[in-house]
Amino acid sequence: MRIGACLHTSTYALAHVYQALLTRIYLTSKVMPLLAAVAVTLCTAMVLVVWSVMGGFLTMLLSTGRSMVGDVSITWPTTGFAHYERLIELLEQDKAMVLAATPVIETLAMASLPDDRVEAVTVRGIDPATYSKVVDFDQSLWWRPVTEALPRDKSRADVRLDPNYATDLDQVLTDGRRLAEPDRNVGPGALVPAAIPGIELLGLSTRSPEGFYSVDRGRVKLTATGDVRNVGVFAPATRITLRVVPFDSQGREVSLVPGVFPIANEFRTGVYEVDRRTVMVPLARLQQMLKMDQATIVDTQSAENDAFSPDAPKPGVRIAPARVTTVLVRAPNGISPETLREYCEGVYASFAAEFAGQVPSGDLMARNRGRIVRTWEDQNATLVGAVRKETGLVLMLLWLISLVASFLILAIFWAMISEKTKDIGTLRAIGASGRGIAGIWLAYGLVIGIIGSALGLALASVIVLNINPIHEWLGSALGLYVWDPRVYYFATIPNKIELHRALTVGLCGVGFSLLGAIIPALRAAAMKPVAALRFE
Amino acid sequence: MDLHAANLFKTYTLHRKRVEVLRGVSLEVPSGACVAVVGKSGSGKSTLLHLLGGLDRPDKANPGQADLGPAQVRAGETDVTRLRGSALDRYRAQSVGFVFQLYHLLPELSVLQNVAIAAMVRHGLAFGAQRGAQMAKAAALLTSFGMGHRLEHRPAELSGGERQRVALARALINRPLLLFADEPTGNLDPSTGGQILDLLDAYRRETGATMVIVTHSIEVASRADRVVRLVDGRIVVDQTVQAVG
Repeated sequence: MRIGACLHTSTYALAHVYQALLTRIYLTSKVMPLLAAVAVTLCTAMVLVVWSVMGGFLTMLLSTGRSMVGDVSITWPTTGFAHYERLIELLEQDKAMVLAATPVIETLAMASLPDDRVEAVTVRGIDPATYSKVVDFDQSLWWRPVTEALPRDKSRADVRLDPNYATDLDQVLTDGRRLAEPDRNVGPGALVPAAIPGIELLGLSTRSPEGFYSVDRGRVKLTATGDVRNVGVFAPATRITLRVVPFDSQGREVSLVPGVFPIANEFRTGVYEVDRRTVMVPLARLQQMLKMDQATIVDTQSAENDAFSPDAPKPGVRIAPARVTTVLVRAPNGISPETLREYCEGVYASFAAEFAGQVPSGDLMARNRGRIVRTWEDQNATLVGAVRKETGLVLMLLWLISLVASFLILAIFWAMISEKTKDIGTLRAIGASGRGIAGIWLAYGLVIGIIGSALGLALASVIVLNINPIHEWLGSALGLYVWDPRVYYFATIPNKIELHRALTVGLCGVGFSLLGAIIPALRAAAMKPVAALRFE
Repeated sequence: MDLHAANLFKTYTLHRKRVEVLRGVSLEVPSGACVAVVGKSGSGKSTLLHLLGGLDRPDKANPGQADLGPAQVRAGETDVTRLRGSALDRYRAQSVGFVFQLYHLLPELSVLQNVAIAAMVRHGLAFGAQRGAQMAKAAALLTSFGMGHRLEHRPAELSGGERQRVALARALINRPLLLFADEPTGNLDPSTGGQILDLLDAYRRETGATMVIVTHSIEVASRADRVVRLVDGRIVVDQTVQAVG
């Protein structure tokens, strides 16, 4: 009997059919709640669009870093460090931790460009064979024959799709992969070291809204046999002159060294500043230019020294091993950059002990922790931190703005409850409980939240997934360019919606609606039946 | 279900001024009887009805009348004055039917929904066939009241008499044993009012329900078994209709 009574009471406490009926009726017969749903829609869409773009920017920044520099870099800038082959050997001993490592020199240079501009650029000397194992170098080479058009290139206007250029593009791709071109002055089989600039540097290509690059027609290509041909694609006959400043192992400036490089291909990482200001050249050639290649050092102070003897080194003569500024390391999938960094720090300590006095000491590395052995995020800590903080701040502001929707719902519900006071009295007279009355308005707020949030997520999806065409349209129609690649690194706006972000925003939209409904619902529940019936 | 009320006091504060609406009302209504409560406006008729129906509570004690004993409303074996929260809601949903002078229909709901909602409130969760049965019961009741052709209409599309028939159907759908009507014919012409009273009489005869009707109308009062006259919150006359003449 008592259990039965409890069950009956519980049934009373649960959602009743009349609540569902009234919620549905009020929702479909009133305009005001639809306005509340629109407010929720706009707030939800606004937050999700901003979060997707800013969060997407951060995600792109971090993920693109891996494709450019691997997971961890070990760097001793400017003068570099020797015996890097041994360091790579030590690193690669544990295959579970290190997939591959590659030596790199990174330095600044002045680049004389084909159109007579002189620009400060970053020159990266690489060994293509090992570099490809660490970063997505091969994939970044832009000029190559392709068969599938880019997603937005509906008219297949990308010249790389043209089968007439397939042979030329194949040659350009081969040249890019080996960072060398056939040397027509020497003869068949001979190669000359070449450069690969970022695709935004030369100014010879124009990025189309569809994402491909078009070049001026009628450019010439000098073929391996020395023939001159008009081609409609990238013109590798263009040359670039790089002037670098070498330093000796003590960091003393030696002289300004120029180097002329034919251009084998162009690369595109998607990071605008990298594509705009980076040139890749063969490691060995850059080592020569920077005096970082292996050299024989003659001690002119030693009396026993015969510096001009062609014979093997004598006392007073020593070999200065080749140096690089950086070793890039890539971990297998599943190893976090932070874990790899710790591993690399340990390996470097052993390496430094092995070559004590010849390479920067382990103590020096330890004192500069986070500056020498670094993840991509460490390298861009200032930017990443700023973006994280800015994203957090903007989201907080947007959530505060979203509270406006809560207050709007509160105001609308308050007005509706005033209007419905007599009805509430009637419902109480026929036996509806105060909780039941509150439930009507909470259910009402919940439904408005669900509808508003669902529409908001849909709207945000449409905007985010089409944000680049929308941006381009705004630019062409109104002259309004918000996304400047020079500021935001990437040429395109991030256009992916993460499920967890959508769910979070959607749930918060529903939560804000419920929040707005709570106070009016409590007010309705607290109404005295008689006072409500007599309300005028 | 017999109805017993004893020592009912009710005071409101309006504009910082205490207004004594009921001053020690006691009333006995035997099961199946019909009592008409008459009196001038402001005499406390509607307040008495609200206390009997569990819509309001009597004052706990009146200092000047402490010797009268506690206020009590008892319906059958249920001490209504001791009911709280969901128990009081359940009392209103299961045992009581209210009919108001101004109908108090929910304007957005159809005629059918206005009646069925009382069954929905009483039965709580209802699915499928049970819910369909509630709607069918409401439709049948409305049809028996001559409203079968108006089921999907809104209250605003009905005449006063039709609205009161809908309100009456809503009050009766749960077959309450206590029926409280607050000037049920006050807004109706005599003919239409007569039809409403006929329906009430028929229901009382059929179910043996106890009925309390607040009215200014002699004709309505003449249909009751007893007439109670309230003056300034006190019962001054409590006689059979025959005795009142």
